[in-house]
Amino acid sequence: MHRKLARYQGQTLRDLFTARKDALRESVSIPESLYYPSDLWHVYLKLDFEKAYENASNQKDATAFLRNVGKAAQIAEDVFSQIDGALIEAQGSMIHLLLPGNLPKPDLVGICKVLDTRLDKEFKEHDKVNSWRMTSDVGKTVLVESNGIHEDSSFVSLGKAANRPAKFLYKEKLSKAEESRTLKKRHLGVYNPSIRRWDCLDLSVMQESVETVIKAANFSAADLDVTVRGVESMIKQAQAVPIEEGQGAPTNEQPNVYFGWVMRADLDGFTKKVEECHDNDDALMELALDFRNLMDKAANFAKEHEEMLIQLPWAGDNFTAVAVYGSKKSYESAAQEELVNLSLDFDNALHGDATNAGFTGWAQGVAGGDVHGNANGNVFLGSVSIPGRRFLLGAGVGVGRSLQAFVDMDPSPQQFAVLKEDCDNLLKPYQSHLTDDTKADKTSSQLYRKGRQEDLQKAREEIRQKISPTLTPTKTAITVAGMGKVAASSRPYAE
Amino acid sequence: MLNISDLFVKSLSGYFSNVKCTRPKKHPDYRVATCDLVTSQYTIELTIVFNPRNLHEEAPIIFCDEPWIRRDINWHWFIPRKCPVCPNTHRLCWINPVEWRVAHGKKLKIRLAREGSLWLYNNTRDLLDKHWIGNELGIKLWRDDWPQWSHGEPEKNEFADEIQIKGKPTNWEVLQ
Repeated sequence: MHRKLARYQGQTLRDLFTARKDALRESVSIPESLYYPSDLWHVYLKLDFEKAYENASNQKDATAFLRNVGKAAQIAEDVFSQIDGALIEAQGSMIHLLLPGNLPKPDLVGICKVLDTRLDKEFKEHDKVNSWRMTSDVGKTVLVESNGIHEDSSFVSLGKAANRPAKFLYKEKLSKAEESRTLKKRHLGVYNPSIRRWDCLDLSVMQESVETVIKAANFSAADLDVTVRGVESMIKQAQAVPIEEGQGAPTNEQPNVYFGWVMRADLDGFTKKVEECHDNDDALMELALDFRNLMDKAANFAKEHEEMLIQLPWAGDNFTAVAVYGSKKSYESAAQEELVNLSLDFDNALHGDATNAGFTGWAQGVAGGDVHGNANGNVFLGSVSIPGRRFLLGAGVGVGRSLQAFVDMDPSPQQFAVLKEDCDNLLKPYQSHLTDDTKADKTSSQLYRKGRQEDLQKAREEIRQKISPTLTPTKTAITVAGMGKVAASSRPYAE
Repeated sequence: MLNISDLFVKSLSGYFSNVKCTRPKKHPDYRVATCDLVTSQYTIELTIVFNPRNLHEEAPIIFCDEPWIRRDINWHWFIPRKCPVCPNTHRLCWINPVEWRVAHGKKLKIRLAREGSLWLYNNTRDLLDKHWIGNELGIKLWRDDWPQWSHGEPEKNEFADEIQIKGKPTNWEVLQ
């Protein structure tokens, strides 16, 4: 099976996305959305927003957030497509791009410098986007297309090189003060496998003194020439291409607004399995097939669950769904119980599939947040559109905080980390099992509480037992003139 | 022969404990019955105010006050039309007044007392069970799967609308 696909090794990204796609589909045993392992550069761009925008609590801030991520994504796609690169996912303020794996390291630095220059020009006011950081690594990668999720065009990439930069970026961005970070603003961190650490280059000074930056990265003299030329020409090329307006709804200017909460489920053991597949195409392909199967199961769960769910694109091994409601009242009424029930349902439905595939289970981060009195919603759904493709993008307190839950709390498999303000609105039996405030760094969290699936499942049974008798209203037999005997069910009233 | 007031109180005694009925001096048209609703989970003292002359038309008003009562209009606990006996006091809205009026309009006294008291008991117990569970579990908002008449001005004619569309309110089932 894998030999049959071997001829596609070495293909360019353009091939992957367009020309060879139909040929790949001819293979009966490989899902149409799975691509054979290729050497790729992964570049993650993380935008640093002003605090109000990252966890936007109103439509104005959310729109500003989505608009600026959209701009950055379009610029990034624009720049990277100049040298056969592509944007494959946009997750909140993080954008994931690919470049061909045979691109020399200095050219990678060069193209990232071009991107930095374009971003600096776009966000020179620094009123919403303060700065940005990038990380990069190269290696064998399988791409899995997130088919059929509300017309989203994201790809999930499996491979050590795909995981490592994202993890480094989050670890750097969310858990440390700026002065103590290795990866500072407008820096690019490139993984150096020989010394197993990150070389961090200051992109903001590069234009003034390219030579210094290149030397700092220990690149060869030959590389230097290429890079200097490359940077100059690429800047010219990239600036010559205007950003095209994307199509499709929802847009970032008019995002869809909902009341709801966000449930993220992280497939535990995924990174370890990816690392075990290092330099083993067959193992990586097998992992991709297992993962694709889990993606299908998770998508079915989202489609079939009784709550109205919107599935956001996978972020690596992270499944994300938004439970949405049409009014503040119905959201608040449901959230007191269903916020935990949904997570339990997901775990009950997919735990077995995960463990059967050799993973340890799902850890979850859940957040909705209190809704301000006159807010028209707390979850905002926009999209990043680039020619021919669209990426769904969420904004709001729940979107940001549910992701942060993993960094802050590091929940284990079958453990849920829930935003404290959501815990306070839950039914008492759930609250009594969401008490663990231990953060990943062993300090106490003011923001989150953790609970175990097993305990919360027991609490659910207790709630069911107590609620159950109240669900069938008592009937009273009465005689009504003109109707005869009537069984009148209890139905309270309020003027 | 027992009058409607005695018949009604006697029927209430079949469902509630310690039923005592008085005639308030200031409002001699009314009767005030106090009683206990005893369940395996809770006991609550109720005050039931009714006008015997108008019992066909006006549903009895029920007052109660325990710490576990959810003090919220969405839990059907609020100050409605004025009750001359206990003005400005929150009450349990255990029935749609129109439902009561339509059901009992032309009923014999004995049947009114028997059916009315059972209806009062069942509906009140149902509502109080929800308050009790609500307090036990920390339910802040009335659940969507608990039936109720809608709140607010536009819903005032909900009863009439349901009669017009379905020939009966949706919570009534005609028995063969």
